[in-house]
Amino acid sequence: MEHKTQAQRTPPASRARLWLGLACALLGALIAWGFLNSWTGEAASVEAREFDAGLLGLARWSAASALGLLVILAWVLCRAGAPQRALPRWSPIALVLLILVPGALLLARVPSQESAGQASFEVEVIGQQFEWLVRYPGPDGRLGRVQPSLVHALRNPAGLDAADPAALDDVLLRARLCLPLGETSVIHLRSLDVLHRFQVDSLRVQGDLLPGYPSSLRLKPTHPGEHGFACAGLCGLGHYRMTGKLSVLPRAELDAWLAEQESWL
Amino acid sequence: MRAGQATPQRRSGFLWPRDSAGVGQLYVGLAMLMGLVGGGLAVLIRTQLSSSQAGGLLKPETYLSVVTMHGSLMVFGMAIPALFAGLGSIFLPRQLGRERLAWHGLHVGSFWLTLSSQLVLLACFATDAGAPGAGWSSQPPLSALEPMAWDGQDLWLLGMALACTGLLALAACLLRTRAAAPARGGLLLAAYRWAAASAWVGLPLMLIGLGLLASDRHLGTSHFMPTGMVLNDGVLPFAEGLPFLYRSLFWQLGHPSMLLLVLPALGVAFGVLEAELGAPLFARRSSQLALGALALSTWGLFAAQVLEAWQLPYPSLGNSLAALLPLGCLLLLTLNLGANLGRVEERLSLALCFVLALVVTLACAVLGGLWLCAQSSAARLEGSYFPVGQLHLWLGLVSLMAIFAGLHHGFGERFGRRMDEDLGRLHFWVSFLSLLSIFLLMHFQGLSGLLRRYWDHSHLGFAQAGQELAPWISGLTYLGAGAQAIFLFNFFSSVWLGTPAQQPSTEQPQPGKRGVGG
Repeated sequence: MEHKTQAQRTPPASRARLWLGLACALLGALIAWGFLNSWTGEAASVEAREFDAGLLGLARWSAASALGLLVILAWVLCRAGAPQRALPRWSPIALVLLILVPGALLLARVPSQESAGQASFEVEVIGQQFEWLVRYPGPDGRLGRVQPSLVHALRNPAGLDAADPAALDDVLLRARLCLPLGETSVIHLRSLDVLHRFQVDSLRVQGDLLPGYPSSLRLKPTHPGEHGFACAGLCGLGHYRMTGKLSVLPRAELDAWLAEQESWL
Repeated sequence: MRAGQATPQRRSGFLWPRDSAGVGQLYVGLAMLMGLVGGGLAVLIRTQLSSSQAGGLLKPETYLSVVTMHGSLMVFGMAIPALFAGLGSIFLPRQLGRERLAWHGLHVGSFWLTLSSQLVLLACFATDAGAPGAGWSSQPPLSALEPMAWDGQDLWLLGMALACTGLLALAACLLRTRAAAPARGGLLLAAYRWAAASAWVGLPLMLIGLGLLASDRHLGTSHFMPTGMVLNDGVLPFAEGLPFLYRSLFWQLGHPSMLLLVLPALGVAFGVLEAELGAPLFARRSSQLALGALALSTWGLFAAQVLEAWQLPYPSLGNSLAALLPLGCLLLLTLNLGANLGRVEERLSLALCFVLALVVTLACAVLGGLWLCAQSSAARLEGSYFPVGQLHLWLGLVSLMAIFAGLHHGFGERFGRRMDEDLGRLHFWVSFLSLLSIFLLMHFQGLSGLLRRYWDHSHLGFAQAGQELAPWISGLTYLGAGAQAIFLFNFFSSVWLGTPAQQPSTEQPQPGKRGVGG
C-alpha cells in the first residue's frame, strides 16, 4: 500500500531519474551492438582466422559487460526512492570479479603458431620514406647480402652487395608483394631509415621495421586474390601514401610470374 | 617557509595570487585558453579527415604538425592544468584546512613554468619549418633526424621539459602540505596525493628521455639512434642506439600522465559526491584502498613494460596479466562511484550529472582497455584508430567530465553566483553524448583496420567500414566543440550576471550541502 502511494506521487526528481536510467540502459544496448557488429573485413590467412576468433571473444565479453554494467547503473539510479536502499558492501567487488575473470581468460589466450612449420617461400620487405621495396630471392632461392653503405636511390635502392653471388639474381619490385597460396611464407623486414610498421590488414599480420634490427614474420595465406598493405607506424609526411598490393597466387602461377621478372643487378 | 604558514604579504595581485585558490583560478583560465586552441586543432583534423578526397584543407606536413600539437597542448595545456593543477589548488587547501599549499612561492612558480611551457609550445607554429610532426610521443629516429628536423621539435622538447618541471614543482607542494588539524583523509586528498607521487615517479625519467633525445639531435650521440640508417644515399654516423628505450621512457610519461588525470578525476568525483550527499560514502574504505592499489599497480605495469622492451627474461603473459590489476581497481572505483550516485535522492545536480558521465566513460574505457592488453588483438590494433579512441576516453573524456563536475560544484562558492541550469544541462547532454560517440566510433574504426596518423585514407584500399564512419565523427566533433561555446558563455556570463548563490532557487532545495572539504 505504502509503495503504491509513493508511486502515485512520482515526484519530478524520480521521473527525471527514470529518464536518466532509461538513457543509460539504451546507451548500454547501443555500445553492445557496436561491439558485436562485424567491423573486420575478410580473414584471408590462418593467422587471421585465429585472430578473429580471439576478437569475437573480446567483442562478446565487451558487449555483455557494457550492457550489464549500464543496466545495473540504470537500476541503481532508478531505485533511489525505494525503501530498501542499502546495497550489500561486497556487491561492487563481486561485480568486478564477475567481469574481470572472463576478461583474464581472454587475456591468457595466446595466438597459436599454426604456421610455424617449415617455410617454403622467403621474401624481404624493405621500408623507406615513403615507399615499400620487395626483394625476391630469384632462381637460386636465396636472398643475397646487403650493405647500407651501398644504398643508392636510383642505382641500388636495396643496397645489394654484388660481391655475393646470391645477390646477383635477386628481384626487386616497388610495393608489389606476391605470396604462394596455402603455403607458409617468411617475410623478412628491414628498414633503411626510420621506424616503419608493415601491416596487411586482411591477413592480420604486422611487424615493426627498425634500422639495424632486422626481424621477420610468418604467415600462411588461405584466400587467393589482392590484399592491401600499408605502413602503420608514423614515418614522416608521406606516411599516408606508403601503401602496396599483396597478391596471393597458386604456387605454379607465382613461379611463372617470378620467372618473368628481371634481376636487379 | 613552513608549510601553510601565514606570512606578511609583500606581493599580491592578479599575477601573484595571495592564496592557492587564486593560483588554481589562473590554472583553470590557462586551461580554457589552451582548450580553445587544442579544440580548434581537433576541428581542423576532423575537417581534413572528412574532406581529403576533395583536395583537403591542410597539407600533409601541416596535418601531422596539427595532430602532434593537438596531443601535447590538450594534455599538458588543458587537461592537466585544469584538473590536476587547477582543481587541486582550489579544493585541496580547503580540505586540509589551509589557505595555501606549502611553499606558496613554488606553487605560483609552477604556474609560471606551465604558462611558459605553453607559450613555448605555441611558438613551435611560428618557426620556419613549422611545428613538429613526429606525433605526440616524438618517437626517434624520426624526431631526431636532421634533414627532417622541424626546428619546432627543439621548441617542443623545451616546452615539454618546462611542463614536466612545473608539474614536479606543483606535486612537491601537494605532497609537502600537511593538514592543519588531524583531519579525516578524504578520498579527494588521497587521490591527489597518489597522483603527485606518480608525477615524481614518472616525470624525472621522462625528463631524462627528453634530454637524451635533445643530445641525439645536436651533440651527435646515439642513445636512441640505431646503426645503419640511410638518408640521401649516405649512412648516418650513429652507433647502436635503442629507439625502443625512448618508447619505454615515454611510457614513464604516458602512464603517470594518465595517473595525473585519472586519479584526480576520481578524486574530484568522490569529493563532489561526498559533499553533495552530505553523508559518509558507501564503500569508502575499499575506494581508498583501490586508489592506492591503482597507483602502485600502474607503476608495476610500466616496470613490466620496460622489462619487456629491453627483452629481459620475463614471462610472455606477464604484461597482459599485470594490466588486470589496474583495470580491476579502476572498475571497482567506477562501480563504487555508481553505487554512491544511486544514493542521491533529489534530482541529480549538474555536477553529479558529470560524475554520472564519468562513470559511464570509465566503464567503456576499462572494457576497451582490455583489448589493448590482450596479445591476440593488441598487435593489430596498435597502429589503428582503436588506441586513439582509448587515449581520448582516458585522457580526454574522463578528465573533461571531472573538470566540468568540479567547476560546476565549486563555481557558487568561488564567485558567489550560480551558473544557468538550463544552459548547463544542454551543454551536458550535447557534449557528453557527442564526445562519447566520437571516441566509441573511433574504437570501431580501429576494429575495421583504419590506420591512424593518415592525412588521407583514399590510398589505403581497405578498412572501408571505418572510412565510412569518418564524416559522422567529424560532424559530432563540430557538435561537441560547439557545446563548449555554450559552456564558456554560461561560465563567463554567470561570473558577472548569474543568480546570486546565497538565494537558493525554490525548485532545487539542497539540504545538507557543503563544499568539497568544507
